[in-house]
Amino acid sequence: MEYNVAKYPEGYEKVKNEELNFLPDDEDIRESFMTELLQWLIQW
Amino acid sequence: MNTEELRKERIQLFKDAIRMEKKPKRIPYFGNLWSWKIIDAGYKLSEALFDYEIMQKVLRHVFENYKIDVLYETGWRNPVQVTSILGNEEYIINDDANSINIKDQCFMEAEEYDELIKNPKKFLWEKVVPRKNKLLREENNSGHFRKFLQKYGEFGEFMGKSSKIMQEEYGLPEFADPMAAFDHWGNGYELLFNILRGIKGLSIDIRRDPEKVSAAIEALDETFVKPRFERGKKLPKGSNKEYCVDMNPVMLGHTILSPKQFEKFYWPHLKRISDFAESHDKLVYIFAEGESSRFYEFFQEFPKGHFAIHTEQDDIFELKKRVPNIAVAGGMKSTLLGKGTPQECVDYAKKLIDELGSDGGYIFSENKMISYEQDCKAENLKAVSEFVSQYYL
Repeated sequence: MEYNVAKYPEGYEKVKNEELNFLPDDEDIRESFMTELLQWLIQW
Repeated sequence: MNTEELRKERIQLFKDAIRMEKKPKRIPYFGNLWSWKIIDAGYKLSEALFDYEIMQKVLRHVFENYKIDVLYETGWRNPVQVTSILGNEEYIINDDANSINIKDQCFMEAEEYDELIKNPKKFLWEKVVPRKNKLLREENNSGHFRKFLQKYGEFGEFMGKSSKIMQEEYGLPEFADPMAAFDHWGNGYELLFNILRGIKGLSIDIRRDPEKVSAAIEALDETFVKPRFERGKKLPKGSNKEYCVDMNPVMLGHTILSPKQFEKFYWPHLKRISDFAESHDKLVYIFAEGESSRFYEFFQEFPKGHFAIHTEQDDIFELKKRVPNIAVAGGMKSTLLGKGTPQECVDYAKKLIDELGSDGGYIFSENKMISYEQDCKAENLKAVSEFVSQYYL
């Protein structure tokens, strides 16, 4: 189902937990990826 | 020498130049070649930037025609295939003028500092990311975001493939360790300068409310820089043998600061890197845009044998004299590469190496980012890179 990614924490958490199938199911790894992704989105 | 031996030798050249403990075998060449290489390879900017296979042909063109030891920009600088999928319109490509420009970005209002300081991730995710990417302003935008993640993954695959070609087929190393690099310009001050407040906004803010700017820098550093330092602390001590350097900060926003402002807003970040480099025995290569001579007293505090500074507009001979504790990089004038003859370019390259590198402590490179067609003639780059690769000290 479609949702608003740009909501924090709801959209952020949904991306972290449901959209990153290529990552292991590990909270630290997923949070670290999200932090890098956030920075990438604002920097580039 | 096979490509793996060549790659290792090149890594060692950079490490020796920065360590300044012994006379290097020869001076390494840091290829500061940006969008120019696309034109030089015979493509339009939009052709290469929107087609990874063409970009890889561009990279091969550089490796096969110029004897450099590192190619810094390998297709990562303008990731327009990824950014455009979310409606980001910051990149302006002009194929007629062979130029790509990025607008001065200001995605945060002066009144929003408190919101940023209170919860940086919430503010950036909810406010800045949608302001920058217009498709994320739609109510139901998860479909757009999935397409973005797909493109982001493809970009990563392209970078990985390019790296493999560069290392395995041509013997050129990756420059900086991605695990310890602390991102190029990902510190709080640079994010405020480049993205959030822009040159004009931040110039006003640091005079009007310096304490709030400091608090914002601290909040952003806590979010983005601290985790990288924590990650870096877990790595073994000593410089990573697979990379030329360990950390590669880029200084852009220092250009608007006085020494007093630099001490307050910028130096804490550099001091943190300096302390870490010394305690963990890491090598740091700072790429400093603009002119930095008013900050030399700060640079004199860097521990000897750990830092190189690539200067864009400083008098590199003066930098070497006044800050002897660091290796210097750059110096090959783009004006000469663009307008001079091959012999004039080689003569100047020889002068740079003889005067700056006879005892180590010098990395040869173009002073400015070679971007436009007129920044460099192919025959000049060929002559200079041939000379540097064979000039043994």
